[in-house]
Amino acid sequence: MKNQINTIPEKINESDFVFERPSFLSKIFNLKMVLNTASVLSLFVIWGLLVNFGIYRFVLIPGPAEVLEWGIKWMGSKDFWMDASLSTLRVLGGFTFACLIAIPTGLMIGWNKIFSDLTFPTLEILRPIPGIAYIPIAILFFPWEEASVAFICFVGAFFPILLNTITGVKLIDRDYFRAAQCLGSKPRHIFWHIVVPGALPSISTGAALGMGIAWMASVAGEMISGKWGLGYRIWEAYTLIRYPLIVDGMIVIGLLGLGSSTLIRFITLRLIPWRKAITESLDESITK
Amino acid sequence: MVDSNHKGEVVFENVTRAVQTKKTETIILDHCSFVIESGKLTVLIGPSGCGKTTIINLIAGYEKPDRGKVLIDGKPVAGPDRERLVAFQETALFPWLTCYDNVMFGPLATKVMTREEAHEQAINLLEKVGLGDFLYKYPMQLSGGMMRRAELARALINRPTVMLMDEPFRGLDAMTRELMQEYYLRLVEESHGTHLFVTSEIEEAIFLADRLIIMTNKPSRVKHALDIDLPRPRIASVLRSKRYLELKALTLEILHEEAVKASMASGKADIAIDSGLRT
Repeated sequence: MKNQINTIPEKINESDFVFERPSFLSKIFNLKMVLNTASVLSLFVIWGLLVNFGIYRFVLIPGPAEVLEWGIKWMGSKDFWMDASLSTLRVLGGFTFACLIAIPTGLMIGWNKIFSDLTFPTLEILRPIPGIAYIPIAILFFPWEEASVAFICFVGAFFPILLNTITGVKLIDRDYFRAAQCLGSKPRHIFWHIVVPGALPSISTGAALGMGIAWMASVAGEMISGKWGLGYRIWEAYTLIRYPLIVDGMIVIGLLGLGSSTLIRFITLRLIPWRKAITESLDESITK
Repeated sequence: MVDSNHKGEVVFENVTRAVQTKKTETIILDHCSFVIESGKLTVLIGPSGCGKTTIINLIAGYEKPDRGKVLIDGKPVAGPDRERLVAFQETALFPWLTCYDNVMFGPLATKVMTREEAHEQAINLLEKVGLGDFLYKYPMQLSGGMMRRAELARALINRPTVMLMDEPFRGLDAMTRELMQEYYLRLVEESHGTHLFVTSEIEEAIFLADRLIIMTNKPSRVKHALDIDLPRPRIASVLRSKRYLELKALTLEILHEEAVKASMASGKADIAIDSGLRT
């Protein structure tokens, strides 16, 4: 490259170039951060205003100040840590099992016609049954209450992961299989080097979805069975007329859900480096 | 005539291939016979939609002839095999592998050479096609021309007996295309394998070919076969030689005849025959 360019003047005046140095303020308050913060703040402001002016039945709902007060008290107690950690463990347990079973099954269904015909109809019957419907059976079946809530989470997470894995395999371009075949790849090799990486982006979408549904299921499960857990705490707060604590429980679930989906995004970005490469080059072309 | 060291002679014997839908049968190839000589670069040219990709698929083993035989060195084709490599119209580089890993895919899948040998050859080939600085980039980070070159390298590292190129440079701009043709020729002239190159561009066809096969419109047969006796190694200046212009004029004339026939026939729509053939 360098020797092709002969027209650059030998001496370059620094004043020919104006470098825009990012200011200290613009580093902290970039537009994205401002907008993100505004988005969260506006939620609290709107909520506060609705409660404060008692619009419609919002008089009955605890306001931000009360919620904060109760929240601080709750977080100082042992209860909070038990609730939060047990809920998280149940969700992660159920989710992990769902991944371990749904991903291999989905890969096989997407790839192997016989396996697909063998399993898919049964799974299609089970699919519309919501995780919550399993609660009574789960309580009956599992001697251990942790297992029954984790099972509900498992059921909730299972199908989004399974279906996305199947779609991921089905959407792999036929030319990739053909190319692999004529490069001398045998079925086993094709499975590990085409099917698995080809389906990964879709699997990661499924995992993110599944994680969200696992949280949903956990709350429902805990409301009915259990002595600890965020869902249990919310229901207890309702029955004991500690209304602000309900909202505290909801906020904590929101934050933990956000945390777990960030974790998934972090892990999958590691597993799918080519995706990162794509988004980076896209970002570049947009900012240019 | 054919050097006995060379392998990869492809023979089409009365090959018929039709695509059947529920009610109609469209004949794509009709008693098509020709020979692709081993160790030569044969270019297949014809109007678009004349079944050139079908010929590639038949040789690669992705499709089977309905009648007739496709023979490689006397043996009928039985499914895809690493002896017959296809470079696709749209790039089929694996997006999850870097440029380098894509090239290493074949050798690592077949284990015909050690990792070290493969590594050396991969680096060597990628440098030859001008991708030495892009080894660890993902396909999505490369330009269209770079992807095609990476694909060439990925195919050629396996030393296929027959190399099948299905309009590999389609959709590239004129400059890149010219460059690709030169890269390609350089690699072919070194490899001495049998190459079949499909295109619909006359200039490209004559510039590359040892032998030019001109197809008729659907249903396809061989209309004409021309030996292109331009000197090798071919360089761009060939395009201005008198012989090149003569060959081009000749090819154009033959193709024009076909184009006229095609436009006359288009009134009758596609050759769709009620499938009375099927009982």
